[in-house]
Amino acid sequence: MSNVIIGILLIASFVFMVWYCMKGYNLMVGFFVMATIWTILALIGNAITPAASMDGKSVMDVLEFVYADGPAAYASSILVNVFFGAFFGRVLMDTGIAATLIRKVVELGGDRPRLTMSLLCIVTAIIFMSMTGIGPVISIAVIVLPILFSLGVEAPVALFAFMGSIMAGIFANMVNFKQYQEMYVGFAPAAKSYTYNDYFTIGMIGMIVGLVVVLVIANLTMKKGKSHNWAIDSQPAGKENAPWYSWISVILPVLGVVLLKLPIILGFILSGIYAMATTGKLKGNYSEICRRFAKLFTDGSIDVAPMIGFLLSLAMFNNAATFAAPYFTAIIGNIVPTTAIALTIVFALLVPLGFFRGPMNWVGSGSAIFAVILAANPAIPVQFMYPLTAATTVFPQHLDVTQSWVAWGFGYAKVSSRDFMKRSIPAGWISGAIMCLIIFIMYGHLV
Amino acid sequence: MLAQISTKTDDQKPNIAVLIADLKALPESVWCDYLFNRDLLVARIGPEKRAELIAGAIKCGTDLAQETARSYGSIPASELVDQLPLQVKPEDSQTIQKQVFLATFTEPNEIKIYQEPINKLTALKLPGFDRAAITEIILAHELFHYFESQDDQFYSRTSQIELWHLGRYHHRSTVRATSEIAAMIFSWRLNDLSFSPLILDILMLYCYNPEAAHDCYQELLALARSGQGDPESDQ
Ligand SMILES: [Zn+2]
Repeated sequence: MSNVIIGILLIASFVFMVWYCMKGYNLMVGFFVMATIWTILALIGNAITPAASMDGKSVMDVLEFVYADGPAAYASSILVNVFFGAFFGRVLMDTGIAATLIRKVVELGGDRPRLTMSLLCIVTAIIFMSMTGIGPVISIAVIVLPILFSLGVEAPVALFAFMGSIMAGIFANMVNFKQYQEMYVGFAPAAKSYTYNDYFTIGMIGMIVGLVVVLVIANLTMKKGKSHNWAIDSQPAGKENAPWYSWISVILPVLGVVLLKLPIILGFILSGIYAMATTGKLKGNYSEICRRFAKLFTDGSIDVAPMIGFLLSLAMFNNAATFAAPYFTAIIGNIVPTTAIALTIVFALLVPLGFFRGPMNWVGSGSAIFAVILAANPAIPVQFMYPLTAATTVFPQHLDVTQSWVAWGFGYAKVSSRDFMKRSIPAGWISGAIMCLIIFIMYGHLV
Repeated sequence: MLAQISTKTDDQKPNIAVLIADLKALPESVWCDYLFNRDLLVARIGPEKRAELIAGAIKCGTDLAQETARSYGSIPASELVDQLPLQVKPEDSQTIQKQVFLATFTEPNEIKIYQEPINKLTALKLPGFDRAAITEIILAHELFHYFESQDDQFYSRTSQIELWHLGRYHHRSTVRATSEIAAMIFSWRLNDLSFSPLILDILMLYCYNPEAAHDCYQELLALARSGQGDPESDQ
């Protein structure tokens, strides 16, 4: 009985958290507070009826696990990827490779808004398979969005199409994969051997599905007639081009990891060096080049610094969720589906709960629910289960108002969140649901 | 006048009166180049094709202005708009960072005029740039896009460049600058201005970002100095 009461209190705090996120309050502090509330509730529960998850642990052990081990374990593998991903993003911007690719694509499509918008979305998605961080997003946005506006695409459609393509790219992004996989491993240690290479096929499929859904919705919600803007561009079109053989840098990290089985960080470093060498950024003496590298790394780190703070407090929350899981099991344990088809249907229907850092989102309050699901399905194959959680995380999260760059986009493009969400919520849900189905078809038989 | 401009160095920031005087003296060709250099496809268009497109656009805008005067008499753009099935909507603003939006025409018949930049500009109380005058310039420009949307034989719609081809498929595209140059010329002629309607570009930008406006001003002066455009086309 006490377990049920604690469970209800946990769920109440959960609802509070969703409200908190919708209000747009600071997430780093929010998740720290949540980690604390859940730890206290779990400690109280354990004092009443000892729980297996706290077996043999003193209060100090529990605090250590949540506040020290959480962030430390997380930092060891993920944060470094984030830093190097951000470094690589800076390289692509500074070498002009990303800007050149975008210009080339516009010259390929020409003055045909729908075609050129679609091509720009494809390139954006490919770029964000390896780039990370709000800095690169903004740097690309300030190139792509004005082009879309000058082609007469209305601001809400342009912003949605752009953010949607990032979302699609992130489904195949290596850094994001590592980030969520690490959380998954926290609840299912056997999943440690599941690598980006194992995920690659479904990641690519997810990227294509996301892109198609976003483009269909953008095209359908675009005004029919042609549009002309009298807008003042303070800059003439850029003419500096990065040479064609440097363009491949954009997907080099992914190729390095998938084809050569390189460690992700080495992939980023080698690709960064290639990008700089082919664009003449390695000219000069040794100390000049070192300074350039240091600057790129620093700029990249600054780009992801706010995100790092959030990720560290999220890691505390995730570990607190380990202790909270038994109480959720007490309430919803009996209704957690255990067959592949039932899990697929439930995940497909609950994709919208990934918005607003909700309970189906790894970088939201999802770890508690996923912990319960994994506890109820101890032998479930990671090839099936991980992509399902990725589908309900990646699609909603990267179209969500709690995503830093989406929030930035509203201010930049003067788009209301309502105009954006009209498109983003259907897009996130449809992409997520389609992916759940594809995952079932591809991996459902493993269950 | 041009000689006087060419002696000005980059770091001298002129006051707005000097800036307007200099801009008013710039010939049509400089403004055409200024618009063309902003086209997304500019890198794909060689000098000959460029000259051809600019000449065609100028003719297109001029012809339409004459034809309009013949059919409707010499009435201001605002009255012309009333006679046509057009909706004019005042909007607040869509200005983002370095891109200032003045107006938008959306097919079939919607003209949006952004009020914020106009309010800012009229607040400067520059002679000749009151709200009525600014509105006439903008409306005439947008009227061009309306007429253009009604007739697929407009030069700005028929003139195309080839971007690439694959076997028998030739990927062609219109050039937006053609349409914008024609619209500028149309507004210029219809309003019978002694200066380019695009002066509004620089003045509006000045209201938001004086630095960026100064850069554009320098760019225009440099275009005038280099004589990239044909000085004979000065009206
Ligand atoms: Zn126009």
